[in-house]
Amino acid sequence: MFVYEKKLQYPVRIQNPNPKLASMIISQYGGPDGELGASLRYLSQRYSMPYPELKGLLTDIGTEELGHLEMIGAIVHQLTRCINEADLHESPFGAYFVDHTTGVYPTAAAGISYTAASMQVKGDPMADLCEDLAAEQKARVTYDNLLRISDDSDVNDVLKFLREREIVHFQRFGEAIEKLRQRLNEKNVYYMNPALNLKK
Amino acid sequence: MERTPNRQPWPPMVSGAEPKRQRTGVIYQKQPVSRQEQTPSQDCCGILPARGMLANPYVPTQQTNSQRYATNRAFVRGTLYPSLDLPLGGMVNNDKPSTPSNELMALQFAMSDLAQYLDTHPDDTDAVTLFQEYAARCAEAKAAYEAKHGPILMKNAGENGTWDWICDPWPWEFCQEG
Repeated sequence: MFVYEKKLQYPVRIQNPNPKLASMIISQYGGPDGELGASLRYLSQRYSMPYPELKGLLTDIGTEELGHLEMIGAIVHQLTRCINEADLHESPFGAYFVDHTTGVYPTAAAGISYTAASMQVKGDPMADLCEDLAAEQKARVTYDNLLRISDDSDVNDVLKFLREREIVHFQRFGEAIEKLRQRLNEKNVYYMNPALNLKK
Repeated sequence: MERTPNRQPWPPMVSGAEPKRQRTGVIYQKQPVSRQEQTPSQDCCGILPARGMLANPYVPTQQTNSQRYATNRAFVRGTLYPSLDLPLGGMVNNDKPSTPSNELMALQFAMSDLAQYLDTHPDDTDAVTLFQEYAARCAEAKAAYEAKHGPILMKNAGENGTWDWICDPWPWEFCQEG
């Protein structure tokens, strides 16, 4: 069950529209390392997590990622308000505009629509948590790159917050692996898959 | 409100001119930093087993007595913990003005970050107590926020006899400092 809170996790208040920047920020909405993929990955991986601390962590981080998705949507929405025709000609935003006008659509900056092929739910806790470590690093790099491109201080304020969350989540997933290891065969953590409850 | 300049000085993207490194893992501090940030604290180092198993990934576990930022600072930094605050190129956000909205968001953020810490440190009873303290402060902040901006949860809508749930602005819409 999910309950909507009518507020953002962190304020998004973009004074100056900038559709060109929006066409790059959109990658964190529906790109390969974006917030949609992050929330789906963690909320879906929960089902095969056998231990309470892992179920809890994936639920809590997955839920936070949904809040980040909303924040990225808010940035894109505010960057594309009140635009004029000159913003569309020979602008990187033009191609997006043709298909989606100023709606917020899950796509990568390079124009590829959101695909679940960029994430994985393997059904093995060690494999899934290693995927999550990598996912947090890739999202962190995306925010690094957006911060290098953007010179809008209102946007960067939000990007810095979101980038730091990737680092904290990397730490937590790393700790989750240690918790998992403590539950498994200490000599061989690959002795079996604890998510598989096989009948004998 | 003090704003960060639009363009930040950048660390070089190629090796050669190596940026000054600090033991905290923070690369390149261009902006003036507080005394606390200049001194790497002990809790920048986590706990690792004495011997690691081959073919296993290890991230040090955060210590239970880590320093914490105050909630308003944690909010703009994106973490409660200075030891995890690792900004790109030393770029950090300034504190936000104290408004009902920012106060509530800061407390809810502190609760959320602490909850994720507790998920992997469930035996840290001091942190559980702190979570309860944040929750109590959060309830007060929520009342102050809703008095100004209306209901956050649908279950609290309609208390004035009208359907105020649908009132603008919605969270994604642009509005000046509120």
